[in-house]
Amino acid sequence: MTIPAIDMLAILPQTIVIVTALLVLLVDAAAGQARIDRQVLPWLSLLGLAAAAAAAVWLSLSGQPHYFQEMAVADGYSLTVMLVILLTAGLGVLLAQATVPHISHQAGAYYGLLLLSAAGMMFMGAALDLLVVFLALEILSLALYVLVGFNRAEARSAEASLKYFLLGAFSSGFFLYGIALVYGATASTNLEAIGAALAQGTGASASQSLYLYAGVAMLLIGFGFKIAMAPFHMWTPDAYQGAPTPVTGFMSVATKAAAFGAFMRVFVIALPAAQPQWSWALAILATLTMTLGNLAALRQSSLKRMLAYSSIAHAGYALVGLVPGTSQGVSAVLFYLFSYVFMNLGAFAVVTALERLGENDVLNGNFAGLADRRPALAAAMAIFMFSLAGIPPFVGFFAKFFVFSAAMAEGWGWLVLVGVLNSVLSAFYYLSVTVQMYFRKADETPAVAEAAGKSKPGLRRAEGKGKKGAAAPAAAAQPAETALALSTRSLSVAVFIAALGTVAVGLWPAPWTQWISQAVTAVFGG
Amino acid sequence: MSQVPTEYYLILSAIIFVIGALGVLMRRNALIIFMCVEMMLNAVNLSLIALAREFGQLTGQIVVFFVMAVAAAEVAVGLAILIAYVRHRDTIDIDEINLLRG
Repeated sequence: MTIPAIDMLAILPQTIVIVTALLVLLVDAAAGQARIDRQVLPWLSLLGLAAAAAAAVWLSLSGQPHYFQEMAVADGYSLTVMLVILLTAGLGVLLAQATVPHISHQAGAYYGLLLLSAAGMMFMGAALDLLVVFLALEILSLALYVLVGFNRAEARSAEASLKYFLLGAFSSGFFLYGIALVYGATASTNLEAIGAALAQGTGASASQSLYLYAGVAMLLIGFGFKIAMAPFHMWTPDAYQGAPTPVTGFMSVATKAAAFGAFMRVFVIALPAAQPQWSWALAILATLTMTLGNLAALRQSSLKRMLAYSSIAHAGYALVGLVPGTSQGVSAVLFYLFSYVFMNLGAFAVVTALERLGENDVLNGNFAGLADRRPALAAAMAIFMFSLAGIPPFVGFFAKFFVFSAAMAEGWGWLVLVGVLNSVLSAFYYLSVTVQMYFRKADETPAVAEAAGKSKPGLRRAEGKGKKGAAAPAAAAQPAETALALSTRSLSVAVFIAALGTVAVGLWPAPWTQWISQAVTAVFGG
Repeated sequence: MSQVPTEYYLILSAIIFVIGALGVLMRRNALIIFMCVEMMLNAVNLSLIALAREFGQLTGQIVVFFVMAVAAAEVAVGLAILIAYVRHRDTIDIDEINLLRG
């Protein structure tokens, strides 16, 4: 008997990220004694992420997929997902530099958890086995639960963490049951083996098809929770609002990219036999997700909550691309996730820059007259809002265009119509932010007071501050200095990169779509 | 020697899973909800073991080992989060957990 050779290259990028996470924790632990400035931690994290990205690029240029014992793979598709996640994590580190020193003394734990979570996400994209998908899901979730509650001084952060944890653990129970049922139908947890067994007619008998469809439904619930698909989206606004803003930005983009990465591989590679059923289920869920997300986003006074509902709506748009189950659709979704990194993380970077210290939220009214006070930041925010609304020439337009045309190609006309109508609906709340920045004066305090007055009990703290502002106009007349409180250079760099990506990828989408569709066709075929 | 059919195990496991899921949805105490989640995971473990025996494979049993490890990690993180919350609000009744709404 011989021990099979293990191709460690297949998990090289993940290994680099995990080793970096451990190094960060070690350096943090030794920092006190060895007199190391903890400012090196974010730079160490960025270095590790860059090294992992370089490894991923090198692996994808070498052409051949590397298999890790039929469990994980480094092929074009998984490497593209990894690069999206690494980019998000890098921007997430830049965002965190502005906030972490203010909310915690444990910077090492923050960056360590962020990297471990990113490693779990990278395994999601690379997984070839349902067991690996489950483990990756748990690795990324456990780290995120802690990150959401990282602001120990803030009750709302702890509450967001608790809610996210309870619902996340609940959903992973469903996901696991889905794995067990699909295993019961096909006697395998390997994605390609499942696909082959189903193609040969396993799963046709009454009990097997019962297991199969129940299993597919359970897997759908499990993935639905992670990508914030309605009706499994209840945790999203609470977790996104309560979490420290850099965490919100990171998780809103990276979790979606990772979950979609595994979602698409599981459904398109392993379960094409059940495609007629899951296509319809996904089409209905996508409709529900887009509509609920946009309708709820319309009536939010907290910007973070508005962006949370908007991210639910965007999960719906991305789902539209998965409905046809074609490789064109998969590459459209991948491009969507890539472009979403820039526009959504950029929006959260601006929110981070505007937050008053210790408040951890921005009300819509705080945007009034931003264009006069901080023209560059306002311009960046306008770009992100236009892009999220899907207005050309920004990247969000092309992302939506590719997703919708992939659905259109397979005859899902009504779904595309719903998507387009929803985009129009979403333009209202995205553009209202822009209008406030450019056409309202900062000293028109009613905007702040009104927003605060209308806000729900959940915003009690912010409400109190808003009312104080209304009672003493003098205090509200100088919002500029409170708004400036958090900004640092790394935050500006993050906003700049995000804005650059939103514009540049929007103006030259061709090289990116080419790269992505090549990577996808190699894995998913024609 | 007569054997217990695999279906019986699967039905039992489904019943335990549903009890767990209903518990999550109906109980108000966060700690009990958490225990119900653990029950759901263990119900799935029973399914996996039964199926692994039916197929004469190790795969299902190996998955169970990983699930147990994951459940243990979840307990560690979950209880820490619960304690962090109790320090702020002094309650784990989920009807009282309502700072974030809208």
